[in-house]
Amino acid sequence: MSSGARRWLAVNRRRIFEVVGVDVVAWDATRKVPSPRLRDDVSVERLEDVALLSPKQQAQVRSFLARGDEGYVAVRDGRLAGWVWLSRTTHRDPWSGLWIRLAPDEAYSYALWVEPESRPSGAAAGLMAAMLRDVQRDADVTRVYGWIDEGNRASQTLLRVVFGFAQVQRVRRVHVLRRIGFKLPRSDDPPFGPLSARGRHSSREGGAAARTAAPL
Amino acid sequence: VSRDGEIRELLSSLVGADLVNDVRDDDLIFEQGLIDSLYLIELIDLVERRFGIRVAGEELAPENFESIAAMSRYVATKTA
Repeated sequence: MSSGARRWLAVNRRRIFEVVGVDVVAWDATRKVPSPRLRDDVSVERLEDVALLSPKQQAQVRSFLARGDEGYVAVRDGRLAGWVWLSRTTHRDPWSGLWIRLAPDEAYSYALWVEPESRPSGAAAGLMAAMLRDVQRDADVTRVYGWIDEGNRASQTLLRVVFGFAQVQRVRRVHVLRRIGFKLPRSDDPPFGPLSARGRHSSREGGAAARTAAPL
Repeated sequence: VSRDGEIRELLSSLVGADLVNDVRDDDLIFEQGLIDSLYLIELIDLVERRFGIRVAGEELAPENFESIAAMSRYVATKTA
């Protein structure tokens, strides 16, 4: 291989093929939810009307809404400044390719985002707090999962330190050409849990039969 | 300066000494609204640099970082 090709490969390796460790964390619905202080110009609410979203954002969340997921939005000056989503449905995350398998008493928090111009404002913590407080009002849900790339220190800190999410599983995901994502086979540790084909996070047994059917 | 005092200094560098002077060692710094989650990330970075430690993902837990006293205890175990 020529030195030019080697240089190109070194620079673009991650664009071609990337293996990333993913921490799966869980929040127990009996935990106390903190009350983050929000900046005066930011508010947080449950998404009731998609008219708040731009056409591009509406297209982005169409599949979320189609499976009945609930959105929580941060609003600044009457426009969207951030969001987080909660799903009760087993599904495949299209970007990472990971299947998140949920038992009937489990939910999954995803897509936490706050625009850079609205940081720091307490919006990220405010969004999580609003969502988790609603979860606590729903007696059917006892656990909320999230997954975080191991190098994402901001999300790791927010979910673990502020809200007390605790690690239940670790997997490795593969990303090819930044388009195709999938779980590295047999990378689940432990080999059962929300990102595995069987078991609940605490045991190999149970839960699998109760889970919504999902292709492997 | 004690370890608690050093952590207090780091916290002061982020949110100002006026606010931190009113905080007791056991006060929950996030729940009381003293610190935003982004500042919390900076604080953990500062603690790592000041004490020469590396915080592993699993160690990012409320019991290690929820208060000045919690951080001090955690640093003590890491530097023992």
